[in-house]
Amino acid sequence: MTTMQPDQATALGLTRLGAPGGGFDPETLDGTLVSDPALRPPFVLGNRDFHSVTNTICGWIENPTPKWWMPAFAVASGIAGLGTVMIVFLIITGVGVWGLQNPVMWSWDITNFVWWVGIGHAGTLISAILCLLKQKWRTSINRFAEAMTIFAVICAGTFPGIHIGRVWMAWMLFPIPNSNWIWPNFRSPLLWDVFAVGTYFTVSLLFWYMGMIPDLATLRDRAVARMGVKVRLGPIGLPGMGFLDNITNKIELPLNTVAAYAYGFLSMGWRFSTRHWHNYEKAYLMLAGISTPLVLSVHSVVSFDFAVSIVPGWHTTIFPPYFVAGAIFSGFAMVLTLLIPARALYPGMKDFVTARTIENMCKIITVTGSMVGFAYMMEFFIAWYGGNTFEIQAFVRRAFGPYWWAYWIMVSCNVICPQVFWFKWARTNIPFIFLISILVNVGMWFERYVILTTLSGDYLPSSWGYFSPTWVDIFTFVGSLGIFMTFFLLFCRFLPMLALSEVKNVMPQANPHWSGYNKGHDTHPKHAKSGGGH
Amino acid sequence: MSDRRKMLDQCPTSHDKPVPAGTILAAGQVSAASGKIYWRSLDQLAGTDEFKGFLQREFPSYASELLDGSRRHFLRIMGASLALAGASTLPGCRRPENHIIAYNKQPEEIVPGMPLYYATAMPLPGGGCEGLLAETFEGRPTKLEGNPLHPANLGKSSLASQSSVLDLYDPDRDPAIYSALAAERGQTLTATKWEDFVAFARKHFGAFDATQGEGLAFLVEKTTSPSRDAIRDRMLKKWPNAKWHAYEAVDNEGALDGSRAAFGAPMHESLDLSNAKVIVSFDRDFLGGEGCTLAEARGYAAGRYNGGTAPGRVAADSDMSRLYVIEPMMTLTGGQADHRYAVKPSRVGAAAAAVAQAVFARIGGSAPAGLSSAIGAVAHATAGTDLPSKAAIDAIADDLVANRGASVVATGPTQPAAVHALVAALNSVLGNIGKTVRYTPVTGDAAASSAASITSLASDIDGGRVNTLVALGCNPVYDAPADLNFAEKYAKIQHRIHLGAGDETAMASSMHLTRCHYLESWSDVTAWDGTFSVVQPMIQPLFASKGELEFLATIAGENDTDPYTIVRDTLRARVGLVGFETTWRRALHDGLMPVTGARVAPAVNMSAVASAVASLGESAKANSGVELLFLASPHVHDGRAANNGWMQELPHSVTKISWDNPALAGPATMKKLGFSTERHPKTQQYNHAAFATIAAGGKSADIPLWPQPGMAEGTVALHLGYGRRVSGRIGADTGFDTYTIRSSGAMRIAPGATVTPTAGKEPHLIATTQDHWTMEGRDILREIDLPAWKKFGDEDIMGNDEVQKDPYDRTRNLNFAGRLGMESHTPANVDIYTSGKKQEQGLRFTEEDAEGNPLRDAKGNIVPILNKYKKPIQQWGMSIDLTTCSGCGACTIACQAENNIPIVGKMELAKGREMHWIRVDRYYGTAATSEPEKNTFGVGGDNDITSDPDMVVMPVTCVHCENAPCEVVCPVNATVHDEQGTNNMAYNRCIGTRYCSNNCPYKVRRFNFFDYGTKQFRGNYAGKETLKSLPEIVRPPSEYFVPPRLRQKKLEVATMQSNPHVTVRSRGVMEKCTYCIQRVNMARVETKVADLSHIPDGFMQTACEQACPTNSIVFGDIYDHDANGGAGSRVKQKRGDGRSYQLLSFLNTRPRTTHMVRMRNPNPTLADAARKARWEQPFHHGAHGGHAEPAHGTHTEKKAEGHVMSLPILNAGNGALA
Repeated sequence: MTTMQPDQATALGLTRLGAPGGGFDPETLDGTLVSDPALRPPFVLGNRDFHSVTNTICGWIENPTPKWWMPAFAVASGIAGLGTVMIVFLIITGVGVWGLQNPVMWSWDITNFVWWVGIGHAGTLISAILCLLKQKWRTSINRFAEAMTIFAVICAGTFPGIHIGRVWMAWMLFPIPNSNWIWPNFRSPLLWDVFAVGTYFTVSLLFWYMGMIPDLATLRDRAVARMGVKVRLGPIGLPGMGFLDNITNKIELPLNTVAAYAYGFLSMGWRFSTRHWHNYEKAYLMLAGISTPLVLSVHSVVSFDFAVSIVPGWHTTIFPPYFVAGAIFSGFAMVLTLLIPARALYPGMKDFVTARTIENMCKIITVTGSMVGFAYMMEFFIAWYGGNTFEIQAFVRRAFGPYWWAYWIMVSCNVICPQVFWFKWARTNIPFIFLISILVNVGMWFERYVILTTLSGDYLPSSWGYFSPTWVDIFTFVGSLGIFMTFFLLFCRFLPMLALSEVKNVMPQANPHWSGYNKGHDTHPKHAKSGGGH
Repeated sequence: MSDRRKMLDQCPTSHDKPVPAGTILAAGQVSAASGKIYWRSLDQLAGTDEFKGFLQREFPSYASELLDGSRRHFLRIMGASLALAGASTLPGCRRPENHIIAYNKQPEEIVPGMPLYYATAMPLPGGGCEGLLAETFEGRPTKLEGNPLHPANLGKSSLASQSSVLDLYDPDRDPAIYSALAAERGQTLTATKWEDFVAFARKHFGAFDATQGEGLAFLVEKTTSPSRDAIRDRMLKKWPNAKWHAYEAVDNEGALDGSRAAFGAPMHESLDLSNAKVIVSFDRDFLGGEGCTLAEARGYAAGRYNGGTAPGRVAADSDMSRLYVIEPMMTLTGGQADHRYAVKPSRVGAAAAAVAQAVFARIGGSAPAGLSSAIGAVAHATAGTDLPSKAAIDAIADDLVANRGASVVATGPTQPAAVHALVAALNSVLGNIGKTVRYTPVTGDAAASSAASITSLASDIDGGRVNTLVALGCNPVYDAPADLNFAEKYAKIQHRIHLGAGDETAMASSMHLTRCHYLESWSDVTAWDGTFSVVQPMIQPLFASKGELEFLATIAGENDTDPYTIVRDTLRARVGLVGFETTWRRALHDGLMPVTGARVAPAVNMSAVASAVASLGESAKANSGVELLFLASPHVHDGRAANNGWMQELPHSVTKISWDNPALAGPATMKKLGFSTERHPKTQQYNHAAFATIAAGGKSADIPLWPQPGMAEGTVALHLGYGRRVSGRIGADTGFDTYTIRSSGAMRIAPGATVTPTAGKEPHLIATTQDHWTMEGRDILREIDLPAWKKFGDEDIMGNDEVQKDPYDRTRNLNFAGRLGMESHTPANVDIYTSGKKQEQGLRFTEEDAEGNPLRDAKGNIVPILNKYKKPIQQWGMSIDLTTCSGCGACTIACQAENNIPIVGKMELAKGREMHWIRVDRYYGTAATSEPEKNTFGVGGDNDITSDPDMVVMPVTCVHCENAPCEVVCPVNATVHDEQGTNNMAYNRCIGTRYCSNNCPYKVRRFNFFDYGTKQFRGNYAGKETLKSLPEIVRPPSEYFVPPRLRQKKLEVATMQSNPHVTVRSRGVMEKCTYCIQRVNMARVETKVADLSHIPDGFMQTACEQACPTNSIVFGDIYDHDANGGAGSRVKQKRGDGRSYQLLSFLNTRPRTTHMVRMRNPNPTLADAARKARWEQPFHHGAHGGHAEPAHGTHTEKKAEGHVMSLPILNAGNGALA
């Protein structure tokens, strides 16, 4: 009698729990919310084999465009266009189109920057730190979260780029050798920002892309199999545009051929060879190692933008850890905000993104939210304990000054809301989680806004002011949401949302000692059957 | 002064004190010299005194050589000199050409890019002048500075003169432009061509010869121009029936009538405050523009802190004048006061009577009996009204009597004649006349009564007695008293001829000509002390315009209408022909011709004063309702500067409001009248003002009402000069026209007014640069009473170690100011980069050898940075004395003129985007004497501010921190330090991240959110909704929609004011005070040419220092130990003073600009016990529990308990903020 492997236990449990839909949890119809510590919840439901995993995930790309996608994309890209118009307008007219003024020289621009950078933290955290910590539940969401990271960092990078007075001179931020021998000021946190965010973006992009290469190769192979088959454009699905369906339905395009070449180009000659896999695994681990300190460093550096200054309310040593916690907090909330609708909209996704995964994320939100709340308290305590009037006044002014409403929105969204996840019903109630995730995003935006509005009153009361956003401020922010969503919808449509190989890795079938499929001694999964997956 | 040093001085006269004979006139002396003078030989000419003087002046170093040399040598030099003089190319001389024309050959003196300075003078409204030096670049005046020789200026200048250069380049002065602007508004305003006018004048005015001027009337501005007076006299001689009315909308009639009553003749009063020990001002804002502001402010500052800047002074020696102010509205003078009492305008006279009664009671027998009884009657009638307390009156009287002959009692133009007469009598009784108070007889136009002039003109018009009215410069259609309905009457006149700006009167005139700027046409003017100045033009008229002399001479049908000739003829008639050319040239060169004996000390007719005073009691008693107080705007005056963007944008010195003139009332009065004084619920700011319907004299107007601390109960102050209906793009429709409720019977004080909330009007947006009233209990502006300074100011700056240990037992070297402030609660700043024993000693806050200073080596020795020639590089610094700074704002405007600082308009300013590099912060505090625990400049915030606050002002500009927070955070190295210790902005390098501004604790950095400097739109000329001019169909909903590329550039003429040595900043760039680095560089070039090792102290001045009327700003080399006979540079001395402190020094930014503690000199009898206790223990911190605790330093042990770390929250009740 051999000892049962954990995965075997999971497999057993899975078998015992039966077919999809026949679950034991009457509320979620999900099989993963087992509270029996001896029983490891399964990572993939639906009694799937490798082939069905591949088929499902690739199917989201290969099947005709879902009806909801086109309207969603139209709305998102419309908003993105609006944001682009705002940016162009800003650049041709001047920073004065925003509501900035003398004491408050940064406001929504940097609020948005820090907010987006914070959101961008979840992806790398999930793919790097959770990878190193061998948290297998992450495999179903890491691709998704990494994509979100990339797009969030793109949005984040936009704001410091456009917020400067002379955008056309932004290249001076980079250490470009020049005949004047003028270099950037390496003492400035803004320069550290350039490097930190730039590095983070580069590494995240590499990590994301590298992890996707085997999946792209799968897509390539599947497209090659269909090369030559022309595809009809489906209905475009836009409201009121039904008359176009007659036309679009008749258009046939060699899209499979295009896809084969596109995926072929992107998969960089991946051949699923053992050597490839060997290199891939090593590279993945190395990138995870490189990314891990970045997760901590980027937002620490971003927090230096404030902490290094001498502005009361900014000049605090608590900022780096508190910013990192806040970043993870908001990043997880944003992953949930995106994941929950996607999970509902894409057939079969619930089998991979299980209720257990979501519950885990809720727990992390509660932890990081509490850390953030603790930081808020410590700020007040230290201001009082330090006895510095300016500090005290800065924090009192935050809570009870002209921006009290922003402060209390922040506290209620960031500190109070996540506490509901102490209750299991809250952690498992998907619509409720969705609501909370949105509130957390709102709260984290306000956290940055509150920090920025601290500028409105610092040392000399003669210079105190009040910042009010203009419509350009508002639409630029809304536009950045549109840009983000546009990228994200494109990602959902054209790239594998889940990491095929990694998901398969955590399936019971990946265990060498697995004896599933009722195939007797044949304990190894059949590669051919899974379409070239594992 | 060495010869080399002399070479640096552009004005040889300034160091040649002996004035050649024949150039000083006795007042009123007119020489009737005639005929020509011939010299028999050059030797004879060379022997004259004036030639010797001339030689001395022009060749100071070589004069003796010239006169003592051989005859041949002499003749050679002489001939050359005469030839050069004839060619008028001697350095410093003016070319006699009266037209400045473009040159096709390079003149000798003009070096492109190098400024030339010419002397000129600016006539002031109502008479008098300022003597100025105009900086010109290739014939283009860019900046005006006070003439160091002129007695009114002594090198300083006022807001009006600083800003007048902008008027010169105001494109809206162009008749073509203002006609177009008027057409856009549906108005018709066309200027008459000069040629047409000349033809008309010849025919029309020639016809008056027959009737001796019947039906001809003149309405002129008051000036003291001898040439204009001469033309007037000639005209009135020719046309005796013509009427000549001098009118000023804002006049000083009370003073004229009062002096008429007291002395029998109208007199102009000037105060010599430098010798005054006690000053009592009954509503005379002598620091804020009433009276001879420049001279009086300078004198005040000198007397305010006698010996404060003298070398070797010790605190105990310091002597300070004491200022009592009784006034209805918070003014700059009131802010400076040691004791201030808010009294309704009509009761100021009663307060003066009460003081007079007390004074007379004290001096016993010598008091005039008739006056005493008249005053007694007033006192009886006003008993029980809210006058200053008896204790206050007695204290004032005691002080006055004790300082007889060294005191000043003054009253201002808002007060009626009786008060002026009474004050003159008081000064006479106190023996001040001739010592601290001097008088100049006022003659001619300046002596006329404006109200009487305009009223009699109006009745003449009604009577059909005016066929032709010549309005010269004035704007009666806008500013005449409302009850005269002058606009209607004006329209009835057949020939309405106007020379002036494109204003309301211009539009109503049948003939309108544009008047020159004073820098465009020759004229002359007399200062109040009689000093004669030629108003020398700097440039040909930029637009089709003419000067008033030419205009009047044309009307008079004179042969010579050339103003240059007119002015010369006037002077020649006065000084005679002998040596006239020399006198003339000297007057041009020096900018003035001194006149002696103009000032007199007349005797007071006490009985006439007594009869005048009798009316005071009645007026004071009767007025129990709301009183309106009409004030000239300190910026646009009576409206004449309404189109001056600098003046509009400069925040009012007290209210900090720009681009507007809301009515001002105390918060308590506002509440009583049914107005809310609450802050905006969301922004917690004051940014909107509710409209009030203000009615007086049967007229009413809707004007927003603004809460102003320090107003007398029941008083509403209205500034005149705003709400212009016809003006340029800046002046029109800016603010509210308050002339509409001013009647001829109540030109200054209108009792019995009603003020009610206006129904159905949205509150008016008010743009202020400072919303906050209080310092929130911070030690930003440190203040102390004189007794404490005398006692502790001299304590060794090193202190004794026990006193000056921080919680870590490190020595902290605090001076007096440091011990008052937050430094006394913070650990010593220790530089982690200095090693060894010195590190233990912490930072010295004010000594120039501050520990850890970048200019010290590791052992703590001063190591000045050397340049490549091994010479020390000068280290610049600035000191701002808060004791004498009145807050007038001249520095702001001087800086704006010097540094090409754009204006941004009301909407941008309301967003907090003003661009001023130097601002004047204003804070209020609760009454210092009554409740010491509240006496903290608002620990409780603005709610603490009662109706009777103290006001303090503080100029703040970039302090050029040695540890500049802005420099660290700039990612592109755009703001960096140079070797001279200044913090510089490299505009080309700046990309506009604005982080520097966020990190600046002083918030002195200014950002170009738009193209303020180069574009017209929302730039220089966009205070208004300029979009109105576009057709509706293409008009964008917001100006924001107009891309900058499509916006109009600043008109070329408007760019001509720019200083070519200063970059005009583009949008997206940060800017701030540079310590006028262009002036430093220019001075360095000049000193190098003179082979000096360094720039001598005082050789160059920053623009703000140069303008500051009270000498509160001092700039120089903080390491210059050798200057001033070994005492060190002025700024070094100031930095070594115990009053010197660094703003927010606990941040360890180490500002190069230091401030000096504000001193007050309260009367000990009016100070309560708590205040007196703080004189003994100024460093005592009341919030330690209120019980008597040892003075600061002695509780070292207690500090270990931890409370030392708590900062100024402990300062509640601190004497430092008293």
